[in-house]
Amino acid sequence: MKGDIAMKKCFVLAVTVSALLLTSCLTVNQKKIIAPPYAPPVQQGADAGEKEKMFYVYYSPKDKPVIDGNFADWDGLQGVHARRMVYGGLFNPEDTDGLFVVRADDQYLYVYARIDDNDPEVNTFPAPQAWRGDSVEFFFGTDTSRHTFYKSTDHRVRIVPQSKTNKSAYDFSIDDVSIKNSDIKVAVVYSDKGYQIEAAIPFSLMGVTKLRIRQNVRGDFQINDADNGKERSRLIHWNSGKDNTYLDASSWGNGRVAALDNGKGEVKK
Amino acid sequence: MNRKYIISVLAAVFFLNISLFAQYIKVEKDDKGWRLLDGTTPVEVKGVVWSYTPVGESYSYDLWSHDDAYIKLMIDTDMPLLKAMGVNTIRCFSTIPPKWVEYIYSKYGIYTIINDLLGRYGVTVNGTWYPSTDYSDTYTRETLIAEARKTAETYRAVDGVLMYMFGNESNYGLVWSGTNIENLPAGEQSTVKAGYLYSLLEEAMSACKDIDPFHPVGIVNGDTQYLDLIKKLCPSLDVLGVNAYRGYRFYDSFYENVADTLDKPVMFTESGADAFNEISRQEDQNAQMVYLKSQWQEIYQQSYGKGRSQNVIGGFVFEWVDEWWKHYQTKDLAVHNTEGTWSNSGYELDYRDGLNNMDEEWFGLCAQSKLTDRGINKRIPRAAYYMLSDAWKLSLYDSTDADITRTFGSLNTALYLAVGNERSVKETLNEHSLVKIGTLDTTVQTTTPCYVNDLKGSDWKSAFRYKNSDGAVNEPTTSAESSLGVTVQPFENFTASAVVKAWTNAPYTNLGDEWSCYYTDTATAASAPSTTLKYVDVYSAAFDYDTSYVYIYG
Repeated sequence: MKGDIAMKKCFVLAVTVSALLLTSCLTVNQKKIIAPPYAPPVQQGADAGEKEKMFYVYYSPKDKPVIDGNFADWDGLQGVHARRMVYGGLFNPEDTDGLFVVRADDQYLYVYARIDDNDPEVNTFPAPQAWRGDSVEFFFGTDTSRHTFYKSTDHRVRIVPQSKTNKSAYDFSIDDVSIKNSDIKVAVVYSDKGYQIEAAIPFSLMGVTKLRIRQNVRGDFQINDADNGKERSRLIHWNSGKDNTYLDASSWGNGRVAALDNGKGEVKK
Repeated sequence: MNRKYIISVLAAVFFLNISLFAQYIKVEKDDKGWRLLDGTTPVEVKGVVWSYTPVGESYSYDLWSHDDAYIKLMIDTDMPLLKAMGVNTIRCFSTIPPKWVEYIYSKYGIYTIINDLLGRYGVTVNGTWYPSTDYSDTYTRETLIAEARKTAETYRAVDGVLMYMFGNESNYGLVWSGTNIENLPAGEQSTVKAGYLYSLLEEAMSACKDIDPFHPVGIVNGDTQYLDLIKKLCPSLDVLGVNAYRGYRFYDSFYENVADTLDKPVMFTESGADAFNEISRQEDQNAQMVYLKSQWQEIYQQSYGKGRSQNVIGGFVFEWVDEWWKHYQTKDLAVHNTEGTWSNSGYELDYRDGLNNMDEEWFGLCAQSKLTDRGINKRIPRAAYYMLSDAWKLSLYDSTDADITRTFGSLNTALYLAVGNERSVKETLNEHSLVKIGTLDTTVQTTTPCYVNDLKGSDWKSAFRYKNSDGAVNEPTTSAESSLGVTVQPFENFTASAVVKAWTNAPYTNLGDEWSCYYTDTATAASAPSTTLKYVDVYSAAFDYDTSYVYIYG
């Protein structure tokens, strides 16, 4: 009984001393916050839905999309949506929204992007600066270990639409270097509500030798949106919440290679 | 009536009083675009961000706390070089005291931008230091506006002030947090924070103008972010300062966006390129030069009277000398670090995704040597220095497109690079020459008697040996002697040198005797020469230490 009382006294003493020590380290400074001098116009935000947990690379050694500006080859495939606003206000599909789908055979990666944009514009910037105008970016790597830099297997692809009338007018860059190569095929088609892009990218340029079913990969998708003739006002990703995908491969999301069956869309994952 | 009259007279006297002492700098727009004028004289801003932090010092280095002699020495080291290059304005991150602003202007004709950082890197409010400035807090704002007023009061009648600038790409530093911000949707937090910042910048500019209406005011913005907000919240702005790092060019859209949104003159408060290549891992003066050449050609093309946006009044190259503290801030201050600090795809000559290609410690138009001259690290101009020296001879406002094409097309970049590289290599050799070998020679002496009478004999060996009548044998001898002279300069103004000789035998004189000085001195030296060789001896040694106060030598 005496022991219990002693213990309690010790406990009270310890709490008191701790409280005194703690408060002696604290400095409280008053702040007086003024009303915001600027409030952004009320935006019609929309529900971005739940982000897809991973993207799929639909693999088929025989069934290949034709890169011709007719996008039927992508119908029915489950892609991922780029709706994570890095900056540029709230997500609103009327301003910008994007669907990305990836396919592969034994030689090429194929990427499809359908971008909804209330002000689709051609982009006249050269490759390293093309992020300032309307364009899409695709990040891809086969090394799934966590790394906060780029390994030789990590790459960034940027596709820049350069004409509203000529679907073969584009700039294509890997790791910010423009590449003109007969093996690369790209088609861009504009509409009043946005633009669509499909591209075939040789494995040799992406550091890929072969993909196998159920192989895990890493990647992200990005929309650069510029409106009213000005420079980029919105940056949107599928996975990363920061503007660091070009530098830090750990900011990308997970992907997996899945078999594409003839019915397209019913895949073995 | 009388009251109004008195007030008018007093106001007139007040402004007359100020205008007698102050220059009247203004921006003006006509049908050819924007210009900056000092009275009626056009001022084309050909500027450099003046850095001077010595090797081994950190960001806390305070030049202005030194004695006047040292400050003057620093200014008199850099300003002649800047003036020779064609620089007419400097921008500096520390506040240059008024008397030195006047000194720089009166002696070198170089203007100074007064740049109040306005809490960019922290602020002390009511005795407490805040590393992240909360622009939404009333007390913080009051502190910063009082600071801005004080700045204007201090400099309003100082000759050489070109204009006031507030902040330093402060839109990149909106990092404070608070419940009022965190309760906002993620996409709106930055914009609301920016609203606080720009409204404060407006208050600062407005307060400054009230006190000094004779100089333009502006802000230093990070690129062209938030132009719409600046338009809404900063009506007092005269000049938009922009820190921009876009590689070869800034692009038409840059100038057009400023013109369309703000209709104000724009000035590059920072632009430039580093001189280190992250791929080849060595100094790259060529890259720095070609980026700067391209940037300035575009600035000329977008300036007054060229028919494009016509809204750029000049700019500041970042920066004067390399700053060795920048990578680690507080450590490795005497190491010129080569680790990239940030990544920028616009600088494509050494860009790769995932690689930090911008080397903060290598942005200088001049390298700094570890060697000092009168206590100041020697400046080693790079190729870009020589290139701009020629390019800036062309008038910004009074040139045509044809002049620009001709001038930039005829710049002798190969020569600038050769000169820049040569100076760099020479200085590198000097830095590694703290110990110099001034003398290194070896002499071999062979003597042989030749007994001519015996030459006809069959024994050739005996022909080279001679035995005199006392029985002493003279035979061929060989002796070698080496001299090594070393000079050391461990620090500025001190030199010490010594020459050491070593030998195998004492050489013979012309009379066939051996030099006695090659033997040890002994007590019996006077009566009987020593026969013990010294082999090694110090031949000469000297030192001198020469300063402006004392000269010691020996």
